[in-house]
Formats: sequence, C-alpha cells, structure tokens
Amino acid sequence: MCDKELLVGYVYGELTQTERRAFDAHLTSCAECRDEADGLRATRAHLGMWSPPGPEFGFRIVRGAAAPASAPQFRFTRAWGLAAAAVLVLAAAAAIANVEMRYGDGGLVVRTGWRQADASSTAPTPAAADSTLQADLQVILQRLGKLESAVGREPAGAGVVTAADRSGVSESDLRRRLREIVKESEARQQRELALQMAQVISDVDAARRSDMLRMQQGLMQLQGVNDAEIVKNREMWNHVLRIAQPQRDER
Amino acid sequence: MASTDEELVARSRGGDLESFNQLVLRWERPIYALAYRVIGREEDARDVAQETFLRAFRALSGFKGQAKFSSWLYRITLNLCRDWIRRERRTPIAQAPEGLDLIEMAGEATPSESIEDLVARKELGRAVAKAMATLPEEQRTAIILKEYHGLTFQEIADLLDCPLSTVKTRLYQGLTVLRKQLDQAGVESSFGNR
Repeated sequence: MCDKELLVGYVYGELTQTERRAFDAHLTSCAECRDEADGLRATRAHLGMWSPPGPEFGFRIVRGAAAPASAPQFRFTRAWGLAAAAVLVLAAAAAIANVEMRYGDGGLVVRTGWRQADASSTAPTPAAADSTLQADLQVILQRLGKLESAVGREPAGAGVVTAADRSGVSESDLRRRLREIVKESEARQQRELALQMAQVISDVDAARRSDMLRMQQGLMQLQGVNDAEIVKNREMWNHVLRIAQPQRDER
Repeated sequence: MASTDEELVARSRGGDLESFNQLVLRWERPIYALAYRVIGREEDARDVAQETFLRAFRALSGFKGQAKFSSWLYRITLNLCRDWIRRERRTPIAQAPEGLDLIEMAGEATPSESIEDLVARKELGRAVAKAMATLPEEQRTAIILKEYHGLTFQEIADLLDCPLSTVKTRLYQGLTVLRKQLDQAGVESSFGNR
C-alpha cells in the first residue's frame, strides 16, 4: 500500500527535496501511483475552470458619514410628518415624565424610567382629572379645612400646641402625607402620559411601515418591468448571435 | 507603495476607517469566492462576505496579529458558512443558470478563445461545481482553500483546527471523488482531448 499523504504532497508540490526525489524514484516502479498522480493533476487542472460570478460589491464601513450621492432622495410623506410631530411631542413629554426611548432589534422600546420626583421642582400637571385625583384633592381639601378651622379657634400666641396636635396628627405628619399624595398623583399622571405616548409612537410606526411597504412594492413593480425588458433584449441578441455564429464559421 | 495588511490593520485599530475600507476592497472578492464555493449561492455568499467584514471590524480590537489577517478573515467566513449550512440544513448546490448567456460570456472570453471553447469552459465549470457539491463539507472546504486560495497544508490545518495528516487525507479523498465524478460526466475524455 503506497503512502497517499506523500502522493497528495507530490501532486501539490509540498514535499521536501528529499521526499520528492524519493517519490520520483517510487513512481518509476509503481504504475498505480503514476496513474493516480496523473489523474489527480488532470482533476486539479479542471478545478481551475470553476469561477464564481463576479458581483458588484462596494460596501464600506462608515461611521457618521453623510448619505452617498446615489442614495434615494428623501421625500416628505404623511408618515414622516407624523413622525416629526411625534418627536416634538416626545421631546416635551420626555422632559416632563423622564421617558426613555430606544429603537433596538426588537423594535421601539419605551420605558417610563421614573426617578424619585423632586418635590421642589415638580409642578402638578393640569391635564389629568380622573376620579382618583378628585378623591385625593377632596382629602387634601378636607384636611386643609380642618387645619384652618382649628387655627381659627386657637387664640393668638397660644404657644407651640397646634390644631393638628389636638386632632391627634402632627403638622409635620400632615405635610409629609400631603407631599406623598401629591407625588402619587403626579406619578399616576406621568404613567398615563407615557402610555398615551407609546400608543402614538406605535401608530406612527405602523403608518411608517405601511408607507415603506407601499413604496417598496412600487419599486419592485418598476424593477420587474425593467428586468423583463432586459431579458427580452438579451434573448433577442442571443438569438441573433446564434444565427450569426454558423454563418461566420461557414465563411 | 501599497500598505501591507498588517499596516492597514494597525491603522484601522487606531480608528482609521479608510484603512479598514482598503482591507475590505483588497479582500472582498477572495472572501466572496470562498463563501460562494462553500455554500454555492450567490446572494447568500454576498451576505456572508458582508457579514464577515462587519464582524472583523467589530472584533478588530481583539485581533492581536497572531495569525495573518487573511487567515483570520477566512476563519470568520468559514464559521459563517457553517452557520448558514446548519441553519439551512441543506447541502450546498452551486447555482447554475438554465441556459448559457452568450452576450455575457462574450465579455469573459479571452482574445484567442472562440465561442465554442468558451461554452466548453463554462460547461466544465458547471460540471466541477456540481461535482464539488457532492463532497462532504470538510473535504470541499479543504480543496477550496488549497485550490482557489493557495493555502499550504499547514495553514489549512491551523484554520480548520485539525492535524496536518487529516488535511492531506481530506484532500486526497476529495480529489479522488472529484476525479471519478468528472470521469462519469465525460469531462476527462471531452475536455482532456481538446
């Protein structure tokens, strides 16, 4: 049994000089290896005939580069108008509600990302007037009413004992509770605002996708018409060449 | 004088995008050819080539120059091809056009080549592609790297993480199968006698 590793090394010219001389000597006495070496060389020659198609490439790695001149021209559509409006709404709303938006592989992600509200800097928003808010306001008004009436009954300069103390609740507790209620109310409003914004974004996104799809379909139809024309022309020229070839050969 | 791959890689790692794009320009055709011959589909091979450069760009900071840049690209390409084959769960079949387009071929003909020779060359190329598609992936990859990319046995062994003797065995077995397939297709007699 001959050494096939040596044979393949011989065919590919990857033997050392010593190995090559030894294998050459072997070939003079081994018809099987000689025949195989010739056959494999011929096969290698045929392999050279397989060439891949040569497509146009031209892809480049870019970072923050301007759009190439050949890029399709931007057209202002309904979807882009809505998107621009949504961006303005979002910018304003995000400033109020600490909304975080990301456009990732899974599509658009909106996160409320609430931070601890700063009582001194957060102003109550006038928009929400739901029943919960109304109830909260009622509680606040009742407490303020009690506080005022108690203060009114207390003679001036009565010292450190306040109406709140007399009703069993200290003034600081009352203020803390008041702040908590205001904060809860704001949080609820912000959450609702975020949900509404997410809905707006979703609608805009759907409209954008639909517009893009329509544009793509239009382009594909155009491309199809062009391709059909090209194929027809090619077939015609091929036909002409085929007819012309025998005539040229005859001459 | 043109910069070497190593110089371009060093500049790319320093943030010079244009240097990396020079590497893309230099290697896009060999990488595409490798992908095309391994998976046999034009569009998918294009995607694999593009993805290879994107991955290389992203991983450039991790490339310390232990291997040649080209070997590193080949490795990424082959991994992507393997993923493609696994994902598609099919044996690569080289795409072959239904009919030969004489107009397109006329542009490829060498000045001394007649249309008849050109057609024969194209048909032989198709027969080779068909025969290659019947080989197991390991043998096909070894032959592609050797025949079309000129890698040495040792470079192929390093790239495929296998012993030198395995590379030689794969090449021998692959070439032997191809020889038989081409014989059966009548290639040896028709082309060999030309």
